[in-house]
Amino acid sequence: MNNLVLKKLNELNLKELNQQLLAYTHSRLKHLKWRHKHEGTTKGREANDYVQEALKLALEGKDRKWNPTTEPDLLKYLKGVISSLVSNAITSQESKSLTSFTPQDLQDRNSPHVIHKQASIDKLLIKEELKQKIKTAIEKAEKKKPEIPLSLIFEAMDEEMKPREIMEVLNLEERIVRNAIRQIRSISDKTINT
Amino acid sequence: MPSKEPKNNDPLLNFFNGIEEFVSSNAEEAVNYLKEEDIDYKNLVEENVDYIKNLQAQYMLKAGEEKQNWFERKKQEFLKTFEANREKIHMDLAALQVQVNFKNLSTEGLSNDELETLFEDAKFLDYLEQEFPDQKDDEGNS
Repeated sequence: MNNLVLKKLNELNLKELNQQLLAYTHSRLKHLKWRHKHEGTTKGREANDYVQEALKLALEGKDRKWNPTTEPDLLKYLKGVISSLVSNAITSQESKSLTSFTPQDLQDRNSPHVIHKQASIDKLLIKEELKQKIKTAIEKAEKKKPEIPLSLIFEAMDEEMKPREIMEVLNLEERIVRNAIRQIRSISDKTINT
Repeated sequence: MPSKEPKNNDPLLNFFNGIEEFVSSNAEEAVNYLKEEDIDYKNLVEENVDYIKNLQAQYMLKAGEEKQNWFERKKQEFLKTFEANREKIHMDLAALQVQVNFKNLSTEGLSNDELETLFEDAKFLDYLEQEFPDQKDDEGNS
């Protein structure tokens, strides 16, 4: 048992913590399933199953233990655990599809390794194309309301900038940035699903 | 727009990571997202809170049992050592000013009641921890 996690959970608002974890996991699962084009690869497990597993692992203190000195934020730590659990569930399915190969396989155009590599390149191109589609849809929305720099905010997010950094760099109010990110999220979801 | 060094070459990966962080950045944003995604979050959250409380209760119960075992173990260690070092222990406890009548320690040994009284004394427990330390891990779990 990890006494530190137990103690911290007693201090936190459990309802809010779970709302945040559930939203994070649902969003991550949606993106990973889409990025890996694997429906059902999570073996029928839903977002909440991952949240519960992460909580159990954290409380048991097994594997990757929570260390408040290096990561004081328990929510952030739990998100990291969930991210690993979800990624492992999806990527383990991918690796299963690739059988072991020999150096001779590299010269064989039909070898699993070469096929896998080609599939990765294809995926990359599809993603790049989709990114362009999202950008175009965002630019279209921006034309209707040019005072909100949606394209710049999208680019900033793609460069790993946090909402607070975007606010500072673009000199925008928090409310405006948050609304813009919600709108961008909605546009990207629609574009992916069409 | 000042540009950060891209962490990877996977298109949209940073963007998706950003969205995931954004929708879980606070409870209000999370609820907005879950509502938009048409997720029955209230029941799930309630289920999870019960799940955590249940896990906590299990662990507390286990911790209680462990504490009880600790007492029993220390009691045996103490009694064994006491027989061999009666005089030293008597002096140690006197120095600690343990609030029990331990005159019997140096004469006939301890009755069960006296032993129970000793184990209710915080200073005596400190003494036991000091004299019979447990191995602890980095998190302070024994």
